[in-house]
Formats: sequence, structure tokens, C-alpha cells
Amino acid sequence: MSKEKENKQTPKCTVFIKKLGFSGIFRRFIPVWMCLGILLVFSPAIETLVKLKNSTVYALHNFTQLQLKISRPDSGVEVLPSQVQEMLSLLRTHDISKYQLSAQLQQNGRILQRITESAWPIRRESEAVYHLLLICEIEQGNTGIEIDRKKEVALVYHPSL
Amino acid sequence: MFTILLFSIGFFGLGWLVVGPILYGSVVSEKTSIPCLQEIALILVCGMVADYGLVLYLQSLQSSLLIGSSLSIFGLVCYVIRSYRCRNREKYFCSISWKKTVGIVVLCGFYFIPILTEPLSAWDARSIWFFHAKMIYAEGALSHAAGWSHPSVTFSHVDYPKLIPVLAAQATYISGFWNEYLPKVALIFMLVPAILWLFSFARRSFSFVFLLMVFPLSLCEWLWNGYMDGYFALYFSISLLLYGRYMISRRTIDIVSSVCCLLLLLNIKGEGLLAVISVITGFCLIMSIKFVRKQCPPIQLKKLFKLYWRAGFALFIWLSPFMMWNIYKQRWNLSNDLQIGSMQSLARISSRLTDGSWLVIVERSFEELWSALLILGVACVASAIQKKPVVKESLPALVTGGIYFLGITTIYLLTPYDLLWHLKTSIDRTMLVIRGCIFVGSFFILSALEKPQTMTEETPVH
Repeated sequence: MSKEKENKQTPKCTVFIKKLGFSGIFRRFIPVWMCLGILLVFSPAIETLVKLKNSTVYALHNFTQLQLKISRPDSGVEVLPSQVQEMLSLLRTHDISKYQLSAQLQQNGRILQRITESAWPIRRESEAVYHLLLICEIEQGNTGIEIDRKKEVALVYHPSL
Repeated sequence: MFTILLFSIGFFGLGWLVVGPILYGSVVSEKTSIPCLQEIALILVCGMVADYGLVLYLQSLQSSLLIGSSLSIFGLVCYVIRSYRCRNREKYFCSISWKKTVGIVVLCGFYFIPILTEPLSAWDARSIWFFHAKMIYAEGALSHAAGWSHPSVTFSHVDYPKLIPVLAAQATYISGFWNEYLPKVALIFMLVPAILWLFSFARRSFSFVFLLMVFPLSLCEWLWNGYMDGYFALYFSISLLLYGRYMISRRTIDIVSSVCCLLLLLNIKGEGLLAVISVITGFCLIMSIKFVRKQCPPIQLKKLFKLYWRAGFALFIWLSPFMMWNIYKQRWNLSNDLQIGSMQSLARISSRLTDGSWLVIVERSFEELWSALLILGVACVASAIQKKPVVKESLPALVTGGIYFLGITTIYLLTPYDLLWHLKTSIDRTMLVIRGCIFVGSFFILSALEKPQTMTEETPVH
């Protein structure tokens, strides 16, 4: 009875240490601590925690703005390159269903992929009559009927360009 | 948030129609021998796979959503009846402690924020996974008319599995519009079951802290940027964790969940097939070790065959979406850019083996893996110093990791692209899986070091 009482009064950790002994604790936990240490230093776990924290703080500060963005159609296009944003705006404003890119634009893999996926279901077709060109290409005389232009890109109608 | 809740409930109802018969032989069985947490995770994943199967079978998003929701409502009713009939329902529902619940909610909450508030910007996320989702959404169906053979989308690896694109397309279809935030809800559907499974390993121990630091924290932004590699590595590792636990616990839920996670990989990424082959090969190798076979027959085949119809049903549900997608791929003539198995690929392998390119692959892989190998080394040395026996549950993860590494090395050897470019753009992602395997192996060794008893004898967190 008195032993039970003594056990109840002694803190759990003390009982644990007594049971294992200091050498036992070292043997059992040092490898785990070492591995945790290596993980903390060399893995991106801390970096992830910092990113998660920053993201949470940002979300809390801009809650209403983010909520609006999430619930609005076509939001988030600001992550696209500026030229692609302009092309997208031109295609949508003029209700184009098929387009093709100028040779110069097609050579840029980033632009090519970003406009293809962001404009979908507006399709990039080789026989399309609407062409997206860089402004500098128009200035070089590569013209058709210019429908509209933005800062860097123009939409041109030319059946055989 | 409403979409997430709606889909989660939908997956739960649909999943119960799969899990009920597999685990209990009935959808209204009164038996409950399984921890609630693991059961929920399994139900959610099975629900997602069943939903994906429905979309593949019916093709139209509208019909699949209609039939899926009807089935889901039926499943939910069955689950409610089962819960009502359940003899020890208080014990069953109280098996999730408040500490675990808080942990799950906090971790999920932290990950939900970047998933939902950062627009899709990563290359593969935009060019592959969520572009496919957009194609399905725009067509309203996973059919050939979505444009898979259109010449402008050849860059997009259209032959890749469509589980996440389908989930994203359904979420946006329900909302009625597309933007660069909403489709990422699909990542939340994938994350929640994984976190639930991880917390089924919760114990008052440093090794569990180690596990949480590794999964999901060391997977960094791969879990929210829209790439599938993080989820692929996470589910592969969870499959091996559950299999390792099965080697000690011999509980049906562990092996069922492990196989479910493994087969889920087939629907996440093309490498899923390599993962399954690695696990099967690893399993055969381990079984051939007399010591392991003697001490612990990993799968009770007799028990499995006794319940053959359940195993058959489970395999049908888990494998049919993969099979169906492969049939569509053949029919629509969608081929892989790596030309695996062609004469040219064999020629490339032999030339790269002779010119020393394989050394570059090993070197670059080691740069990604050295910290994980260091941890494994420390754990093994500590285990040897303490004269502990070989931790048998760590073997599947380590052997499978080794075989998977050989598979990935072969893929790099046969790549038709410039090897250095291919390594530069992908090695950090492909090595996540192997790192995961090493970490799982280390976790089991550390667990054994920390506690002399087996895991089932330890006190879980309550």
C-alpha cells in the first residue's frame, strides 16, 4: 500500500528515469535525437514550417481578398507571363475559338505551353486565321489586318499569313 | 470549403460501399474491430478510386456525379445503419483521442492554406496535371473529344493517369467555373487520408516526431504546388509503413490499407507501375530470406484466399480504373514519350552504360539521398551497438527502395532526352520516393531502438 502511494507521489518522468537508468536513456534515445538533429539540419522540414507559417500569416492578413479570388472565375492568371496575359485578354475579348502563334512566339517554349493551357478550350491550330504576333513582328512588316493590340502582343486576321 | 465538405462526404459514402464488403463482408455489418482513424482513411481513398472508376466508365462528368452521389447516399445510409447496429459504437467512435484529432486538424489546416491560397504556377502542375483537369472540365467528360490527340497538346504527356485531374475537374464542374485556385482542392482530397494514416502511428515517442518531420514536412512544397511527385512519394511510403506494421500486428486493415495505397499509385503517376513491380519483387526477395519467412510470414495467404471473393472484389475496384485508362490509351493512340521497350531505348541503355553516364546518374542521386542515408547509417550503427536483432519490418521499405532506384536509373539510361537536362529537371522529384523508403526503414529501426517491445505492445496516444 505504501509503495503504491510512493509511486503515485513520484513524478512519472522520475519513475521512468529510475527504471531505465541514465545509460539506458542514452542508449535508447541518443540515436533518435541524432537522427532528428540530422533531419532538422539537412532536410527541408524547418524551411517547410517557415513557409507554412508565412503562408498562414499572409492568408490571415489578406483573408477577404483571397476569398474573393478563390470564388471568382478566371482569377489567378497573374502568375502567367505578361505576354500570355495579353494574348489571353485578346482572345477572350474578341471571342476567338482558334488561333495560331507567330514563329517567334512558338520558339519560346514557356510562352507556347502557357498560352496553350491557359487559353484552352480556345485551341491553337495551324490553319487558324487569327494570329498572335509580337508588336515588333508587325513593325517588321509581318502584317495582316490588325484587329487589336496590347503593349507587347497583337491579334491579326490573315487567312494566309 | 463547401465543395471540400461535399466531396468528402461523397467519397465517404462511395468508399464505404467498397470497404464494408472488403473488411466485414457486408455494408451493414455490426462488427467493428478496426481503429476508426484507419478505417476513415481507407474509406476516403476507396471512395476516390471508385469515383475515378465511375468517371472512366461513364466518361461524362454529369452522369458520373449523378450516379456517384446516388451511390454515395446509399453508402452513407448503410454506414449510419451499421453505426446504429454496432455493438461497441462508443468504443469505436472514441478510439480517436482528442490529441490525435487536434494534431490532424492543425497539420491539415496548415497545409490547406497554401494549397487553397496559392494559384497554380508550377510548370508540371500547369502544363500537365491541371491542364488535363481543364481539358476534362471544358469537355464535361473524360472522352477523346476532350482533345487528347490534338497536335497542340503533345507537350503535355496526355498518357499520364487521370485520378487527380478528374477530381479537380469534378470540383470545378460542381462550382461551375474555372480559375487557378479551385482545382487545387483535389490536393486536399489526397492529403487528408494520408495525414489520417500517419496519425495512426501516433505514439508518445521521438520516433513519431521523426515520422512527422519526414512525412509530410520534409516533402516541402511538393504537397501544395500541384506536382504529383510529393503525393506519389507520400502514398508509397505510407504503403510501406502500413506493410511494416502488418508484419508485427498481422491486422487485416494494415495489409488492406497497404495494398490500397500501393495500387492508388497506379492512378497517380506513370511510375506507379514501377512502384508496384518494385514492391512485388521486394516481397519475393524478402520471402526468400529464410530468417524472415520463419519469423514472420508477411502475408497470410491462406486467410486471403479463404476470403477470396473479398480480395477479388478489392482488386477489381482498385485495378479497374488503371486497366480502363490503359484501354483508352490504346484506343486513342496515346503513347509515352520515353519509348520504353523500343529497340532505340535498349540501344540508348547500352550506349549509356558503356560511356559512363550511369555514374552521373548515381552521383546526382547520391546528392539527393545522402542525408537520408546518413540517418539510416546512424540508426543501423546504434542498432548494431545495442546488439539488436535485424528489424524485419524495415526490410520491405529498404529492399523496395533499392529496386525502385534501379528502375529509375534504367529510365534515366533510356531517356530519349539529353541525360543532363533530364536529371537536372527531375532528379529532386524522383528521389523523393527512394528517400521516403529509406526514411520508413529508419523509422522502424529507431522505433525498435526507442522501445524494446514490439509496436503493438506499446501504449498509443489516448
